[in-house]
This record gives sequence, structure tokens and C-alpha cells, in this order.
Amino acid sequence: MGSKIEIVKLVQPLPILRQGYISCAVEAARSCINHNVEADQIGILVSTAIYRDHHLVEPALSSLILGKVMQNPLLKKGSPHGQLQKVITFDLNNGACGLIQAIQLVDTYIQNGNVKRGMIITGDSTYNKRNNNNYPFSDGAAAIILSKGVKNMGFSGFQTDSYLQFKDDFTGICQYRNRKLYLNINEKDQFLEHAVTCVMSSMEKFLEKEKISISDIDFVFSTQNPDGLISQIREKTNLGNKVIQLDSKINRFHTAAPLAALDKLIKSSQYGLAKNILFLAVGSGITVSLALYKQ
Amino acid sequence: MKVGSHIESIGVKLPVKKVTSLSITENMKVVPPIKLELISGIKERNFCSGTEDAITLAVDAALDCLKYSSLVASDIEMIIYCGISKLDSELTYYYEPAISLLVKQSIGSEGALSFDVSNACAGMITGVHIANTYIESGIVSNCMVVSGEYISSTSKNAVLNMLTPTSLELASLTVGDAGTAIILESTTSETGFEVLDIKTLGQYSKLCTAKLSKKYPGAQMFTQMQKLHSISIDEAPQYVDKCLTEKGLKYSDIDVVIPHQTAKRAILSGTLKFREYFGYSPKEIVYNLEHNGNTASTTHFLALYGLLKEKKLKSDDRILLLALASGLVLGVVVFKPLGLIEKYG
Repeated sequence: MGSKIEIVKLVQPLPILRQGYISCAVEAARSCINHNVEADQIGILVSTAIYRDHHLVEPALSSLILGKVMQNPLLKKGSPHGQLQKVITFDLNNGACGLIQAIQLVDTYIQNGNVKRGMIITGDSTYNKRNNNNYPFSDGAAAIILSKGVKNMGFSGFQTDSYLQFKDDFTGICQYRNRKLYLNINEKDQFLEHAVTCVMSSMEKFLEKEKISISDIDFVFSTQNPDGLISQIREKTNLGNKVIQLDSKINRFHTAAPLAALDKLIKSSQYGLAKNILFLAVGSGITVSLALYKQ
Repeated sequence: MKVGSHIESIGVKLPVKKVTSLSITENMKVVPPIKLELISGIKERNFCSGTEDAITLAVDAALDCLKYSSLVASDIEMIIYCGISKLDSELTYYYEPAISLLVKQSIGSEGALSFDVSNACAGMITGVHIANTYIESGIVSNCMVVSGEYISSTSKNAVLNMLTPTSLELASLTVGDAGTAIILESTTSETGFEVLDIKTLGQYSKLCTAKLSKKYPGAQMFTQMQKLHSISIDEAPQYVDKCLTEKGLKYSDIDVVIPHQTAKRAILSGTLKFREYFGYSPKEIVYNLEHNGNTASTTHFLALYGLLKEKKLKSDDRILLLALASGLVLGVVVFKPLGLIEKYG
């Protein structure tokens, strides 16, 4: 059986601190590690953020996060949680689907015996809000630690499909004009309709492959964009409130949305009752990623 | 027999336009303390022009790779794009959709699992590490690892921005554009990679950073060259030693080393450090900077492609690829070019 979720932490920036993604990511990572996780067993750290501080393109954000996490005095020699030792870091990007693909990747490294534990950090932030056109997402970061699961529990299946006929439906690009950088998010009117169609097609295929009925799904942790996605999935799957909706006014996360939904459910105490959880992401491409988690 | 992976084919795309070191320094506000060609060993490099960009370089390299492959595009099960640069010909940066999606659509591998990986100049080595793990796990039986580096805007912007010869943008003058692609496919562990390892020393992650520029179109890169080089060559011999020893190999078993191509002096001093540490120097330390410059994540496979084309390799040569990248990321790959010699020779 696949990897289990050890812990997830969500961090939203304090406006007074003007925190960007890296700062929130470091806080989320430290928070996970300080919660009884042996840091020296984390062998891989992957960041799946798309929109980032200062439009940094090098080095990988994961290496910057690792560098800052290592500065944590709690991780110095003698710490009860040990130190980060040999760590593989890199960024994995595929729009909103990067998170689930990174979960599959870390799960693969754990199942192969390459690493004992892996951390994925995700989230987004905008550099200069004045120059952002149609940027709809909240700033913040979430971190999750995975480790080897026990029989019949943990991540049991993954699937990613791309529907390239809709590749122009949602784009995020950065352009230079007149000594300014503009982040332009272009979302076509048909994106919602196409996204829902793609999700339903992929979900049907996935559930059949995993030999599980939709009625056996206890909760769905999904990306939330575009507006109306969650209500349409709720309606078309008949899963209703089992598809977790985040408060879109304060929690309009992009890549971090499925982990924010998980965090919300953990805090509500209903999480422990769930047996089959579906992680779902849909985004640019159009790409749909799914993962089944059993506990 | 345990399943691993090996390199089935390699493809390259270089932009048409050649730019000499002399023509770069001619336009600078300040003159470097000594000639750029002399300190870097770079006579010329390729720069994108017209419609060439990160995406076209990656696509053309992928198509070249398929030319040498026994697989056709629709056979490719996974594609990982590993370039730092996601700039199109108008210097628009693509956050999303992922470049790997555009590559797979362009070459006709629509059904492939795909995502982008970013790990500075260690991007392709990281891609190989991931691809090998997926193949070992049986998730896929083959994977194309591809990169298109359109990074010449860092050089053009450094020329405009450098005010002193010791500027942090000096290293930007060494870069060149290139695209490379490789296909990995499953094989028995006996013919697969002998060593495949990467690690990050995050405490040095700020020694080289690049970001989209607010002052000029494209990107700017800031490198503490001497410190980065000094730490890299201090750390690398022990790391290589450990990686080889874990797999029952010695440095004296290595015939050819392809280090990350930064500058002639850096490679020479690294070679001396390795000789001092191991008491041995392989028969060839590859150095292809003269005509290509530093092409970031594509350097190792651009150099390997050149060696194959020039018939400089034998099937039983043991090759070591050494990644040294911003992060600070170290990576080691050891393999024999079994099956490649005939295709390119």
C-alpha cells in the first residue's frame, strides 16, 4: 500500500509582515517538522508553487526553502527532531495539478525505498499586486509530509490526464512592458464548462480503474478554481457537501487548495471518520489529476 | 533481474545565430579586467533569434532525439521538461500551462504523463533521476527528459547593467542557448545506470539567483562566482567518492568525466582538485565551452551528443556526469554508452 499522510500545515501570510510564498512555505515546513517528525528522515523536498516572490526562476524554490528551514535553531545538532541530512530538492510544476503529481512522485520514491519520508510544499504569492491582471488567488503555503503506509491504507492510485484541445483556456504569463513586469491571468469563458467535463471524464475512468464506486467516496479535496467548479462537481457527482468548499473570499488558493481542504477537514474532526478520500485537481492544460487515499 | 533504465537516444538543437565573446564585451559600459574569452574559454555561443525560444529548442531537440530512437512519438509514456527558461521568442514567461504539455502536443506524444521540473543547471540530471525511479517502479517503461534553455537574455541584460568588472552579473556573459532531449527506457540493472544520485546543500542556495528583470526584457542572473566555485569543488570530490564507493566503484574506474560547463578555469581547477583528492585523472575531462558556452541544464547531454557524433567514445567507456548547480545541487550519473555508439557513429 502507498504512503500515508503524517501531517499537513497551512500558513496564510500576516499582512503586516508582507510574507511571500517562500516565507509562508518555510513556516509551514518548520511547523510540520517541529510536530514530532524526525527531520533527518526527510529525504526529498518538492515545491509545486507556480506564482512566486520576485518572479524568481533560479534556484529551485525548494532549495531556498531547504536553506531557510535548515537555519531553524530547533534543527541544530542536539535537537530532538534531528537535522535534515541528505535531501533531494527540486520544483515540480504543472499548474494546479503539480501538487497531486508531486504526491505521486514522493510516494514513488518512498515505495522504491529511496527515501523514508518526503515533504511537499505548495502555494502561491504575487510579487507586485498592482501589476497583476485578473490574478484571483490568495497568498499562502501548505506543507505535507508523507511516509510509508501500512497494508490497505495510504495513497492507492493516481491518474493524470491532459485535454490539450483546451490548452488556451487558462494561462498565466509574465510580460515586460515599460520597465514593469505584468502578470496576466487569462481565463476563457468556457474554462468552467470544459474543466467540469474533463473532471467528470477523468473521474469516471479513475474510479473504474481503482474499482471503487462514487458512493464510497467520503470526501473530495479539490482545487477550487474556476468559480463554480465545486458547486458543479457537487451536483454532477451527487457527492454534495462531501466535496469540500473553501471560503472563496479568504481562501482562494491555487495549488494549495486541496491541502487547505484537508486542513479544514482535520480541524473539523470529521477527518478521522473518512475511509476513502479523493484528491482532485484541475487546471491549465486542461489537466486533471486524481489520487485515492485510504485510511 | 532488477529493472533500471538506460539512455536509448539523445537529441540536440542549437540556435542558428553565433555570438562571439568579443562582440558581447564590445557593447559593455565597462571592460572586464581581462578578456572574456581568456577567462571563460568561450569563443562563441549560440543565441536564439527570430522565432527560436525555449519551447522551439525543446521541441526540435525532442524531434532530433526521436530520429535516433527505436520508439516513435506515440510510444513515449512520460515527458519531463527540465529547463530553467520558460521564455517564448517575445520573452514572455510561461508560468502555466506547463511547457511539457506544449512539447508533448508538438511532437505527437499527447498520451504521455507529463510535468515540468525546475532545478537550475541540474534540471536534466534531476529529470533523469525521476525518470529512472518511475521506470524502476514500473509506472512507465520509457521517459523523455527534455530541456530548452533560452537564457541569452541574462547575457544581454548583464551587458546593459554591469557597472563594474566584478559585478555579480559577470557569469551571465558565459551563457548560451541550447535544447537537448534524451529518452530513457527500461533495461536490466546490469546495463542501466551504475550511479544516479543528487543532493542539495540548501545553506548555499542564495549564491546564484535569477529572476525576471524589472529593468529589461527577459531575466537577470546574480552569481557569487568565486564562492560558489570554491564550495562546489570543496564538496564535489568527497561526494563523488561516496557515490562511487556505495556502488562498489572507484574514481579510477571512470574513463570520461563530463562536468557542468561553466568556465575553462573553473573546470581546470576542479580537475586539479579531483586529481589531488583521488590521485588519478580520467583519460578525458570533457570541455566543450569554446563553441557553446554555459548552456545551463543542457550542458551534459550537449557534450555527450558531441562526443558520440565525433566518435570519441567506446561502448565500454565508463562516463561520469557531474552536476554542480545553483541550489547548491550536486549530482552524479555513471553509465556506459552501450547501444548509443552504433546509432551515432
